[in-house]
Amino acid sequence: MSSHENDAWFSREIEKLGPILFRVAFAILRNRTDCEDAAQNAVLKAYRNLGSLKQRRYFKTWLIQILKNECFDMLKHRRPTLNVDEQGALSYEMAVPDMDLNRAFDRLSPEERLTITLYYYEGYDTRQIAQLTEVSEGTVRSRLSRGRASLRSSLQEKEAAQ
Amino acid sequence: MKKKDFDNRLQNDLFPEMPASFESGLKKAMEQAGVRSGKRPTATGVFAGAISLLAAAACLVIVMIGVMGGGRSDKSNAAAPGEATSTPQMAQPTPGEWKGDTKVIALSESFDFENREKYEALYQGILHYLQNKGETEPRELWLCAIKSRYVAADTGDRADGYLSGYYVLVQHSFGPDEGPELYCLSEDFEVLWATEGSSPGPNHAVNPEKDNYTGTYQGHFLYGMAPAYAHVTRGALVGTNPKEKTDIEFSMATSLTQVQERLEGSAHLNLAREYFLMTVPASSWDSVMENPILRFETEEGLVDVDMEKELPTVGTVRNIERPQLTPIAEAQGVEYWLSQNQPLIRDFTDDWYGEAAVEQYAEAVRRALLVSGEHIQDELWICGVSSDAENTDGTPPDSAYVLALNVGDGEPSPELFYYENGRILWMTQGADTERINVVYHNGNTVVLGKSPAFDGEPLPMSYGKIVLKDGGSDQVAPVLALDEIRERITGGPHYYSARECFLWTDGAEHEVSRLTIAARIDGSDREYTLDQVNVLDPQPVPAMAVRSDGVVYPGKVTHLAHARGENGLAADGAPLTETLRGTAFEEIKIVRNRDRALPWEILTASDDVTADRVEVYSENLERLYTNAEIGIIDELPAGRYYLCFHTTVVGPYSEKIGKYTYRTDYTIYKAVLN
Repeated sequence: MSSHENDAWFSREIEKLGPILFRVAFAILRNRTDCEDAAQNAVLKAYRNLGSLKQRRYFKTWLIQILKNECFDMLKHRRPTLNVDEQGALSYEMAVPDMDLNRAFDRLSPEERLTITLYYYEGYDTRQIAQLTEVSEGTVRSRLSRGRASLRSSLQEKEAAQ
Repeated sequence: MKKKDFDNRLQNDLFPEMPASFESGLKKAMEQAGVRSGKRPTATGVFAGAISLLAAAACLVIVMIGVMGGGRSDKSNAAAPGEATSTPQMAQPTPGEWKGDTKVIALSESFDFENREKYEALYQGILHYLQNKGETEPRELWLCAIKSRYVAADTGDRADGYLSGYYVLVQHSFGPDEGPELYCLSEDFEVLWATEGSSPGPNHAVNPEKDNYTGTYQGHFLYGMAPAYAHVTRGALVGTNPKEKTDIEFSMATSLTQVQERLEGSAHLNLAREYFLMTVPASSWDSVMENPILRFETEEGLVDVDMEKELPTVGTVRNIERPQLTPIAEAQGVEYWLSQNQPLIRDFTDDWYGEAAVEQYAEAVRRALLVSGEHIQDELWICGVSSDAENTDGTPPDSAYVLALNVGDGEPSPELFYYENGRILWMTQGADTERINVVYHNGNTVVLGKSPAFDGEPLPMSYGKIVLKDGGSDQVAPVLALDEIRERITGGPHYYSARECFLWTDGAEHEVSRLTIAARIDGSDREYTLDQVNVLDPQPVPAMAVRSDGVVYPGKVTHLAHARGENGLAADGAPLTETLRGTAFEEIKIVRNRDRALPWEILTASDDVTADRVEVYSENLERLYTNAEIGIIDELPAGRYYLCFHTTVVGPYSEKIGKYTYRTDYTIYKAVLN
């Protein structure tokens, strides 16, 4: 594949994967600006290290992994920006479809949020998630199970309070 | 909140739309990286030639189908109105959903999209079946049509039957001679059998199932696609024997209009005729098949396909062998199969450490039983788990006592298994129902037993106390609660044996004197004492090797023998010649990749294998690591090893338990590390 074709392919893939990258980054960082920074860094790194990707069919997984590392680095080394609205509630700088669900989601650990996103939104199975997040499959299932239970309980509490 | 509502919310309402700023940020990053603009190819410029070639190739396919479909009448080969003038393009049919590397496309509204879980379980079941057959994941999976499947009632009248599964027409390969195959699925969406080798025209298959297993209505099937006439509205199989005229109407399984809309512009348009599926009772088949005519009613009038002249393809039925399960009772424990042909696991631990833990321990118990030469029964109950260890990361403890029951005939008593780091180190054999069972291990005392029964009736323990000969005593609690189990197994043959089990451990060695329990009868506590003590030796479980199909063999190989190349002897002296050849001893080259951002790649002569856990054996098959992270390979010195990879596949969704089933595969390879 020529260099031009390579670029064209890369560009198409990034375009195609944009929504996935957004969801993964947003699941971990919960902030639009940080998501944009992390995704941009990930795309830069991916392009520069494209030569180390041996099989293109792994591109999506590889890119998600780079992005995940980028996001967790950001959490580790830089305090993520949290936006608060006039009432003091967490704001996401954009309209979210279900505010209660998102606030419950915020209470989960970043790892649980990532696991739930990969499982429910990106169609990965627990084995793939375990590979992608470099933990055992048992841990993935625990995260899924606890994440779900916690979300459910938060939503039920909220409903009961209403 | 209902589970369905919760799942819907979780799956649909969590994320906002991707902001435009995010998208432009990605473009900006690509510009910064120096990526040259990669516009999508259009039918102009350099791509025009390619598109022309593809179109020409597609036309050629149509011509070939016309020629190869010579078995059909001229009428059936005629193009549908509108079809002849449409130019097939290579666009993907829409809509559809990407599931991993497979795009799943349902072509009929009859699929219950509203019931998302069922729909997911359906295609997962089919993908699972294909995977078990060793087929590569299909690029596309078309769910063409679905029909309910009924089990005949005792009356033999089909009208009295009840729903027991589904017939689904499935297409996953798209050559000119390929047609949808007929799949028979159970109510839980497990594929029971499927045809192979169907063609795009009418096909005939005989139901391989016998009444003695599922009681499924036995008969013949006609299935496939109607001739390429647009707007087929109705059809029938018409027997022309004047004495026994049999008109059996069938409805079109899916509407061409819908399919046409979905596949407009698809290269597969020429296959997108109307599908039909019809069952013919075995008793009527012979009479129907005298001068049989398939009659289609179209907007153009009636079209007959003479089946004598145009013999339908008889699909080769691939029957799935299933163990003859004898239901022990209407149990409601959390249940799943760890693998096909493996026991049904019932979890009675009340979510002690989550399903992952039980699965992990159950698999270790199953393997230990196999290695010890025990016959694995249809069900394996995990009755209780106890551990003092706790992992800080929330994962199940690395060591635990597991009380498990390999459910069999007679009066069963759970045995105790000691789990450590992925395997059972020892187990008891001969735990007694009527006595207190004591095991001494590493300075610890472990006691297990059951509460007494009275006149064959179990006694619900209100409290229990274990009394030691040194004068000490301690309370014991049941680990298998009778009140719950009783409801679960009412009517089962194990009813009388389902007393309450208890498990007591202590970090010192004690002689046990007796167990006193109080059972509540008629509103008052009555005390019972059990003082017979059964001291059990913990039986060490040998190391094991595991074949690629999941069958476990004793594998502590002491030396290598040479027969048919590379083979070995197991610990018990049995040759591994027959059990571990082929892929098991296929030598692979591990390409070490220290870039952790990339998933590990295991390169074999055949398929890529990916895995998350690994057991490592030396060249002499001595176990070096158990249940290790795959990255352990990085730490190994160069040399030859046996690597046993664990892979877990998510199976069909079980409606009954509201969870997905799992299958764990083990594949052992001889590996050369560079």
